[in-house]
Amino acid sequence: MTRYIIRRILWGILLLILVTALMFVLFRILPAGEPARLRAGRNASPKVIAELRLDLGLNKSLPAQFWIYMKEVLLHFNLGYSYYSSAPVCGLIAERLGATLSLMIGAAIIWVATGLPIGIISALRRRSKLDRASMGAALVLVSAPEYWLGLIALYLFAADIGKLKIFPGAGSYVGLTSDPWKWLTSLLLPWLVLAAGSAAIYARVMRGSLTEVMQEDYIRTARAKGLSERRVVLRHGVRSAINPILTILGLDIATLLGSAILVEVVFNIPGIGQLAYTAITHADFPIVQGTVLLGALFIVVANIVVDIAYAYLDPRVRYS
Amino acid sequence: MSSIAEPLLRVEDLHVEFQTEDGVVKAVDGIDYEVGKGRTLGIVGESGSGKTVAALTTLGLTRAQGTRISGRIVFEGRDLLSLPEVELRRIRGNEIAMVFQDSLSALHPLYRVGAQIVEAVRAHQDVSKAQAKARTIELLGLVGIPDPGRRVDDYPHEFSGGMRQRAMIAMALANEPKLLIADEPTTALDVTVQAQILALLERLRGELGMGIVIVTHDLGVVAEMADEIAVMYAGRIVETAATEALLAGPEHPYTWGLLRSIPTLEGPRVEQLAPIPGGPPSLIDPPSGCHFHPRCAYAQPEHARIDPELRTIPGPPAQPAHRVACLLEADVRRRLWSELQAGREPAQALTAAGLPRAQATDGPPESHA
Amino acid sequence: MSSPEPLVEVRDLVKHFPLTRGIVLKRKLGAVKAVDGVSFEVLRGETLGIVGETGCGKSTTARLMMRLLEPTAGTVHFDGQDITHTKGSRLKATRREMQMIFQDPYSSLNPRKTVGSIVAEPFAIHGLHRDRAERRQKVRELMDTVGLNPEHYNRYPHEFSGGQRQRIGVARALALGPKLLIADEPVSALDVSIQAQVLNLLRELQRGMGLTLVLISHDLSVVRHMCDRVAVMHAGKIVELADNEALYSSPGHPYTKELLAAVPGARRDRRTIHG
Repeated sequence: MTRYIIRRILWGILLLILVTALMFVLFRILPAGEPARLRAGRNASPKVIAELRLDLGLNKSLPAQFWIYMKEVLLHFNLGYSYYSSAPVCGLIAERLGATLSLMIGAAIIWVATGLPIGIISALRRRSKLDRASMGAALVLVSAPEYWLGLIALYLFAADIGKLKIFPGAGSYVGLTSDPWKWLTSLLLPWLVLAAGSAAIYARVMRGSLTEVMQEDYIRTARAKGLSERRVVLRHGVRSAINPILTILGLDIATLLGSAILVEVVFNIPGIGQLAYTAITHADFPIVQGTVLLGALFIVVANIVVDIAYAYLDPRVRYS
Repeated sequence: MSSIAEPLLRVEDLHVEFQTEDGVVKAVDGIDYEVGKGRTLGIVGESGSGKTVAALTTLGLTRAQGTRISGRIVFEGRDLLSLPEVELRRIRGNEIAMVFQDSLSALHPLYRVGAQIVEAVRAHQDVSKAQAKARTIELLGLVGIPDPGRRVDDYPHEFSGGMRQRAMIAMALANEPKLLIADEPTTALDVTVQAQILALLERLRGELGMGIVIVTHDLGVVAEMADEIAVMYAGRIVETAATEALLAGPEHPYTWGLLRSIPTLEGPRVEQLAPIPGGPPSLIDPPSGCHFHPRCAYAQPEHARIDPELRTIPGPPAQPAHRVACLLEADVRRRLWSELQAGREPAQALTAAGLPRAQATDGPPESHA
Repeated sequence: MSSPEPLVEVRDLVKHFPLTRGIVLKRKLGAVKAVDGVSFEVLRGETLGIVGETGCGKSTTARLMMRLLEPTAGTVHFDGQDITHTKGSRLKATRREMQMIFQDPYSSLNPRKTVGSIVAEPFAIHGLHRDRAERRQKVRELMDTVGLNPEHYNRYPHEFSGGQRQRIGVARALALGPKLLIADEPVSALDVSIQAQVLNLLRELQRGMGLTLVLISHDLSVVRHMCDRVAVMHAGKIVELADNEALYSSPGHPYTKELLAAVPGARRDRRTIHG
């Protein structure tokens, strides 16, 4: 097992290097906009732009720029400096990480806590009204894009502009440490929006998984032992049905970063998603690169964790 | 013997029907049988005979929406079919236990074997986990698993097929049941392992005084293990007798067909086996009258209209009674059987017994062979 | 029944499946010795049975004979040719002469293809009978030979019973007119009364078409009924190879005796099926 983990980590590092290289090349090739010119602002003279280019190191050859960048990242963990604000990328990401993590983890907890029970009940009562209603709602929520859902949610429920003034509106986020209550309430609406689609998916997946598991022979054996139905469903049924869900969960949390961007923008939460969004509009390569690298890191780590977890969840899985 | 003392289990006129998309499946179409204390009953049948459904229904494991069950299953004076689920749960795994066919899929793959047996113990006995575990190790030793103290913490996939089956038996015996139902207990196993498992069951029956019901398609297994045999076909019992009586003098054409279609290790080698033509019938739309008549070489026209009843054959009273559900006359049957034994083909036996060739030469329905 | 030269000759056949370990470079730890030095012949026109329990190597031996696997050591001769290491088009040509029938009638047929196209697939692979009408005619003949209704050409496997599916497998195996037919547990998954039908079919076909048949089974009674000679395998080796009569009436090797004694309902001192 340890060999396996080491192998996976080595491959993971290789992957991250490849991702960085790919991003680097893409940005330089694609017509995304001239960062120097964007930084210089309107009506800037060519001289200013040229000077900026020198400052930002954009005049060097591509391989040279790449080499400098990689050296900084690998040796000093320095992700560069924003073209726009000259602030260190690492610092920018670090100060915004908290908000994004709050958003992601809170949403994940909510969708697991709502999606799974609904899925279990739907599986046990197939074709009942509850089942049909929840699967129908699931279909709608899965199809709705997060930003649309976010805007609708604000329109209906935000304290400042909504019809029913229940939740605090956009822009009301504060850090956990400064005001816990405000932190919580400001995140409620974003959490619900971010969780909605996933809760629906998880309900459906759990429904399918549990329905299949309940047909297995070992469920029949459990009943033949005289166990209560509750025990049969939870200890024997759900225990098996949950394996595929836990693996999806790991991966979903990793890719959540992408969905978080849209929600952060709509709700004006100062997280990494918003940072990335702004950076893209400014062609601010270092920041974009930094956030992409972070996202890739999340995914690589999540994959490894999920694979290892699976070996613990299912004793039949053996890695060499 | 079985009919003098009150039998351990008595099944009366059991019917089990499932509602499916294609129609109502009459899995069990009116069967009666008994199991005596300390006796082994073998229920023999092929796929679609209803034998497994009958076994599962004893424990109430076929109860579901869309399933209609009627009849009585009397165990220790109580009708199991009328018991509420709560009461049945007290009996399952406790007084009546079941062993299933495929031990790899019948045991939960994600829990240790010991843990699953402990669960069975604690479901019915008020003991601590440690006590239950000690009992589990004892049981594993009882069924012949070497080094039980260590193997108790293994997972099902870490056991060999034979060991796993033993573990399943250990789990079934956890609460010293009075009746053990074994559904194809040795089918997926190698021959030498089969022999060991059967010997184990035999030994345990002796030691614990249990009644056993073995459900199988393997006549060899029931020949060895069972005191009495019931032959099922298309949801009905077509013949039932003491094992020696059935094997020495079978009365039903289906039983003849089964015995003549199996290759054996002893006796002369035949050039061609004599298979039963056609295939098992649909249970949604079973043949009218005698369910076997489309495949029976000796069927007469009226057999498609009359339902045969299970009747004791004429002759000296036997214990247990030898009963058969066939519309042919007893002496005609005996004549046919002796002709077949002498090596004649069914058609020749027919004429020799004085029966007209009533079947149209279309033969049995071809859609299922 | 058999001419002097054997159809298949296997000498000191060995197949090891390696066990490896390592992070980047794999290190060989040891091997699973599936087949550990097996030698025998299959005479033309005979039915040879290979019996043994799980893991004895009988299925691996069959696959080595058919060159579905390449031997680790030893030789395989078919019809006088050394096919131990042939590859590519020569192997493909050899494959036309030997075919296999598999155990599970439910998974050995592609559920998405009609029966007709399953049986015709060998033609397609080897470029025979390209004319559609001719091909359909051939398929119909094959289906008739194995006792299936030729009109069911366009049905799908799930519309047939287990025994019928096994017949489809046989039809497919016969399509190219092979000299050798290897049946790996052909009736284990079938009901007892259907087993007899399929076994009779194999017998008839063998007699009628002069096929050589190798039957692999764990069921000693089936092998006794069908085979002229029987090889008993255990742990990758053949422990006894004898004529049918000899093996069953006076088995030589203790393992053979143990196997025979273990068959339920078989022992003389216990009740047997024939009372």
